[in-house]
Amino acid sequence: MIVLERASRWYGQVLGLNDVSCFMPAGITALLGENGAGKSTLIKLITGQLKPTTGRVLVMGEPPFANPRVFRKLGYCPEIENNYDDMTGRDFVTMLAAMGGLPSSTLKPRVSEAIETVGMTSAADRKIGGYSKGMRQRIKVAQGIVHDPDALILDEPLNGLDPVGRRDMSVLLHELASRGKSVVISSHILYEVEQMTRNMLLLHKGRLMAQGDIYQIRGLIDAHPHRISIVTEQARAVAKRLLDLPYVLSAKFDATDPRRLEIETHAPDKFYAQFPDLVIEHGFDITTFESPDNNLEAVFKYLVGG
Amino acid sequence: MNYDLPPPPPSASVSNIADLTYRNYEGPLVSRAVRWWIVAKSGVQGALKKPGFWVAVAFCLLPYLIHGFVFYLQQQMADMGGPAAMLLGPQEQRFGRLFYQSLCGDTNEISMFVITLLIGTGSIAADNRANALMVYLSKPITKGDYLFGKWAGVFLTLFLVALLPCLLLFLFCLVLYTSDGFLKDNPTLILKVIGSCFLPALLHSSLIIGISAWSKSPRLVGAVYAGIYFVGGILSWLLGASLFGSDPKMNNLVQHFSLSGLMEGIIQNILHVTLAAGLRRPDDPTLEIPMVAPLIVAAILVVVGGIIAARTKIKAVEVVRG
Repeated sequence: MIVLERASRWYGQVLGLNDVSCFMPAGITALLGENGAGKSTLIKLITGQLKPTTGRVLVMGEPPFANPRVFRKLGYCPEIENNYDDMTGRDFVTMLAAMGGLPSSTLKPRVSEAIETVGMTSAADRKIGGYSKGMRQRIKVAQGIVHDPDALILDEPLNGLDPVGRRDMSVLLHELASRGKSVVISSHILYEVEQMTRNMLLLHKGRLMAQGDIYQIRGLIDAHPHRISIVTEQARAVAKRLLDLPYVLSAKFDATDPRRLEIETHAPDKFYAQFPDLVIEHGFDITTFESPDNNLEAVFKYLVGG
Repeated sequence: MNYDLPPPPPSASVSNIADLTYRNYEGPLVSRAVRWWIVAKSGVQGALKKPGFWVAVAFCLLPYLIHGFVFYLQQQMADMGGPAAMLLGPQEQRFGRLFYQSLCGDTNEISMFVITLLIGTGSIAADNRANALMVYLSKPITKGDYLFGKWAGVFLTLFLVALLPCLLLFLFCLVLYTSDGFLKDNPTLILKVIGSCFLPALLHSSLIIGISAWSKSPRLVGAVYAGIYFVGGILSWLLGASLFGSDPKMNNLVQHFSLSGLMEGIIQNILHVTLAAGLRRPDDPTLEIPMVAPLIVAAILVVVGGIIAARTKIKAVEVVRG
């Protein structure tokens, strides 16, 4: 539904996006990258606010730049915080719904539906200035879905949401995706989006670094040793048992904290599957268990070869 | 013990658990002919919700009440043959002067200036600050719709604030002075009054929108606008006095090259009134109607300049040039 063909965008001498070709089908696609990676430029190209310098962008088969036909089919939920404080949530959604082309006759009920969908009915008539960050996110999503778009673009949609809010948002986005809509989520936090989708686009310095199924991308990472940090009072005993596993390559103790153990493995999935059984079997008391590699920065480091 | 359940309420067929699932919209999507109106309406509604706006509106009404009342007293005394007839000025200018004094008095001008600050400074600057233009311009409205909507939101509010008390004053004159030749002597006065209300709204809205589009800070916009308004007034006065001190006509003209001066000068021409003498001699040329053509050219420059400035700057995204 959204296609980029060798799309590049220059800002004078600055390259925002470099020769990116990708396809965002119906379903949820996560757009990942650090700050300055080109996520915003890509979103601006998709939402028709920028024209590609070279290449082309197609949304539902049409170039989106200054194209009201495409705008009608797009929902955009930006990462803005400090505006519309004097308006009520309902007024805000109503205004943008009217701009989206909803006729006066259906405006009110449809706005109520959208507000209800994001769980904001009870707060809809309060001023946005008094909303929490999570409520602002919800009301922004309501304006994005009120005209029932075919594609929904969300910039950092999980920012400020509490765990329940994140779950609700995830359910809503999955529902939209299951109805054949393209949902594009921009984020710089891998673990947030990997709960929602396996389809990802990874941008780095304006280039598309990887795209496709998250497990395929992880496969690339897993070719490198994967570090896992464990804190336990029985660090040496745990290390001894873990080194018996064929896919554990090394174990290292922290010189400053004898309870901290870091192991390297080339098969993290197998490790994660077997480790709980091992802990139960030997009665280990594990305080914390984390992977310093399980973040976007580490993914990039591996993919860039750093 | 009786374990029978109470009968279900009449609405029991409706589940108590709300259905929060997403619902498709099956209705039509329309292309509105006046898309700018959505933006303008939001601007007007935003203005009406500000308490400061209503305080400023009350101050706007004050000169009409005072001048209307004083005019009534003077007219009464003049009818009794007192010296008040002199204060009212020439017969053909009496009503025009009444409207001029109400519209261009300090209280009304300052109130209009304050309302402009209240509703205009943040009109585009706040959107710039929040990067909200992307939201507007990702909807099926054009940059022109957005700009015209923002401008119209400020313009309509100012125009109505100026016009409504004028219409009340007109009604007052109509009721009390029709028998004294109010309509007969001034058949086009209502059109002139509407034109006189149109001008300040046009100048204020165009200039503030132009400045607002160039900033992300409504406060900075307010400071710049206040600077233009007040410093411009002082500069034009100094310029007129220093360059054309010996040429009262030119002095009078140059002193009108400020925002408030343009409004006063053009409205003076529209209503065709000379000013009341006050402490100055009645034949003082600075009390005369200034030349209108240069003032109109200057006003057009302000309006067009403001709108071009806004149009140049309004972009959904800020393009950083490396």
